[in-house]
Amino acid sequence: MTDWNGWAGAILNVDLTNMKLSREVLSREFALKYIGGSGFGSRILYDEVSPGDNALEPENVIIIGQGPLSGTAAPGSGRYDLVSKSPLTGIYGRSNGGGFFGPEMKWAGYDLIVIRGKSEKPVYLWIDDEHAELRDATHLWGKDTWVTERMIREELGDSEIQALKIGPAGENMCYSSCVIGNLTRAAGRCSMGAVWGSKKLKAVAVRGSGEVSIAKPREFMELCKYLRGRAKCDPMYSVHTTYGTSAWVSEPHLARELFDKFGRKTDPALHSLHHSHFAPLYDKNLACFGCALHCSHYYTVKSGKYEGTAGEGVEGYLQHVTGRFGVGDPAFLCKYNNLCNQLGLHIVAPALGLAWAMDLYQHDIITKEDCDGLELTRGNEDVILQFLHKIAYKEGFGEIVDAYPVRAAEKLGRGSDEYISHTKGVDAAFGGVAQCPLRNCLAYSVATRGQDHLTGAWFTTRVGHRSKQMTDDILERLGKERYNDPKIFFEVFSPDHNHALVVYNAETIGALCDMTGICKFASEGGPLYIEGIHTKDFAQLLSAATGIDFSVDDLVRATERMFLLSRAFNAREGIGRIDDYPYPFHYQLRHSKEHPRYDYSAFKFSIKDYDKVLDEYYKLRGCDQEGIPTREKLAALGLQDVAEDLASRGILPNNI
Amino acid sequence: MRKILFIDYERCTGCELCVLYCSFKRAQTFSRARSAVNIIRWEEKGMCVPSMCEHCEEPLCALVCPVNAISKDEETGIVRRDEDTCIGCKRCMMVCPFGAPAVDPVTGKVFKCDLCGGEPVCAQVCPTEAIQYLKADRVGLSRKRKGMEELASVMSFALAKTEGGGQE
Repeated sequence: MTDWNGWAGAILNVDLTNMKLSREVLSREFALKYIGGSGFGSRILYDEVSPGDNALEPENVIIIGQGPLSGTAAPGSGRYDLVSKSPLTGIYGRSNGGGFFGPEMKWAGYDLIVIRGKSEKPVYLWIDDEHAELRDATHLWGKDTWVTERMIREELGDSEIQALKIGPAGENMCYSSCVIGNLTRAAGRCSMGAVWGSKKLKAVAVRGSGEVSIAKPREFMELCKYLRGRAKCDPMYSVHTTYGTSAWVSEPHLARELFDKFGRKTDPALHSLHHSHFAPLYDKNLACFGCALHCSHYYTVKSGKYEGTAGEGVEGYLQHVTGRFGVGDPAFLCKYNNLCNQLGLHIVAPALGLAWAMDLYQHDIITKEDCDGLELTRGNEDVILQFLHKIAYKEGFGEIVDAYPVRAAEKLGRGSDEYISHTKGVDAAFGGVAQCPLRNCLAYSVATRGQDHLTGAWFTTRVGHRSKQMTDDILERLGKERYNDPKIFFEVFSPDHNHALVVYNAETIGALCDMTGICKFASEGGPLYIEGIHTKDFAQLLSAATGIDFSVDDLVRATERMFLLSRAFNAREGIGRIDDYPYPFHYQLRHSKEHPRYDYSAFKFSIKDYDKVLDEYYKLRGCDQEGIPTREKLAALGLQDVAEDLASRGILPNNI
Repeated sequence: MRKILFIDYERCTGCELCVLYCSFKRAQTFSRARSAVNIIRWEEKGMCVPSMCEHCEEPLCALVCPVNAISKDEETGIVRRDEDTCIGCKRCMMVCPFGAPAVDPVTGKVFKCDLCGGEPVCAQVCPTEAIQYLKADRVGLSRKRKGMEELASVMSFALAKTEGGGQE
């Protein structure tokens, strides 16, 4: 028992090089300043990983966090957060997953697990409340994630153990690898699995019999009940609880997915997939910890080629990305999903790489011989599934596909770089950017972990290409209430609205979710953008849980710290304004000419329009024209040491 | 009419809200170890089933309790454990086929579901009605209706055909 409320109050430090473990008491000052999860992780990463450090060397750290609301009755309290330097991009890397690991870690008594160094042989970390040890994982090495979890549970004799683990993809340090919790709860982006693989860390298994104590229990519970009830009033509630993210596949607000990344119309056959097509495969809804939205499903394929395929999912973006494969069969998507989860591959990364390779194949830049004798054509399901293995094991052409986008094009040459698209070395999980609302494009591009739909480019910035539940009346009211601008959700391509503020707010609410351990889908930034958890609700929840009086301003400042730390981290790696542009504009600026494959006429706004909103965004974030945090802003947030560090490296001027 | 807790496991999403609310009601805290209801999961089969005291008609726990701390309330059906009488011998844990009695890791005492005295919070918060607190006779009838649904739809289709019309 500790005297902490909300937080567990401890950090577990793991030194893989010397096989040593130590428990550290969480500092209250640190907790108040950075809240938890991604906030803690971003600070530690900034302090411990230096510019130029190789992400796959012992210098990198693995920071596993959850937040002060994890494991409580707050809606969607089942998330965990991973922070490391990303091997794919060489910059700030962060990934977040659901399931049941986060709460279990809290109950075991840790807010943070920080893993440093590198083990000689494969190991896994076993945490059983106050007892923690590193165990040999030689027998687990090479096993897929599902088998690994089963073996760990059997070996330790406890079926309730929660484990994060890597599959063969992570062991082989693939850029497309991820970390998997439960069967399907991936921390997918930023190649986190490769970092684990480089350290020979197969899994982190945890079992906790503790509790989360709450400072003001009655008040906290009333809030949770109220927020759950309010969520039900949201027009999107029933859609999301029935179909989960697979509902997005046929929502009109995703119309831009019907264009490829170069802004050209895609094959109309791909548009035929509708979320109702998944209904016969879905046996039941499944939920992560503490969540009434139950947006996941257990599926079984009942007939045909993939009969017997059973697992959990399917995520909405899988359907969009595989749309680029030219396969609209939901049964195939289930099979693909299972294989990725088992191999420890992120479902999106190999799909983006394969879609790129298919483009190259189509344009005769690569041939059947290059592809190890396989015909890499659209619609060729068997080859796609074979390639997942090749990617995970870095076999033949799989190794090149795995390194998509930048490294793959460098390795292959032959002008294949004309077919890539990325921001800061990461391609988008969702479609291209040409048809996005301006603010959505901005949010995608300024995300500090690379092009990303979850930092700020999610629902709040996407409203406009809206779903049928969001009527014009609702949008007009929302615009008036939130931005004093009834047109802001309609004129999505015009730079004359305060789109930067919409992005800033979306980032704030998203960061609060990741810092407190709450699922974004439960917040106003997710599908419940009217009745989900708002910033002021977060302030109340945190205050009641921890007993510390958090104001909205306190929380916003905490999120600003996280963003500026990640921006400062990236600035040390040489990231600047040019990296905050969507790819076609970025290319234009870098090469002083238009990208040969983009259809610029398809863009609904110009680079000048984009410049205007980018400037506005930097101003809101407290950054200079290069996107680097200003000394004044850093000082105002109590991050003077970061300003000094940046100044000592010549990134910021030495004095004011 | 006596009420019973009815578990419709096909509806359970495994969210553990019942666990959170149960531990909160019992101990004002959030803890799986301090909840009288637990979700038993077989992830690879997509199965999750809430498990708690079944409030047996002939409770073995009461039978083996050396101090008669456990009794069956004939009116409500609740199998109740008296906190003051209980000596914490854990015999009840040995004989319960469902593992319902557990030891509270903080107080060290045995605890189990007492149906919240007749207003079980797990049933109140379950978002999918996988846990329901129903009058005993209603359970059977609703299951019968469910079982007959397929037959009913086939029959209405057949009737519509034979009568050359009817309802869709």
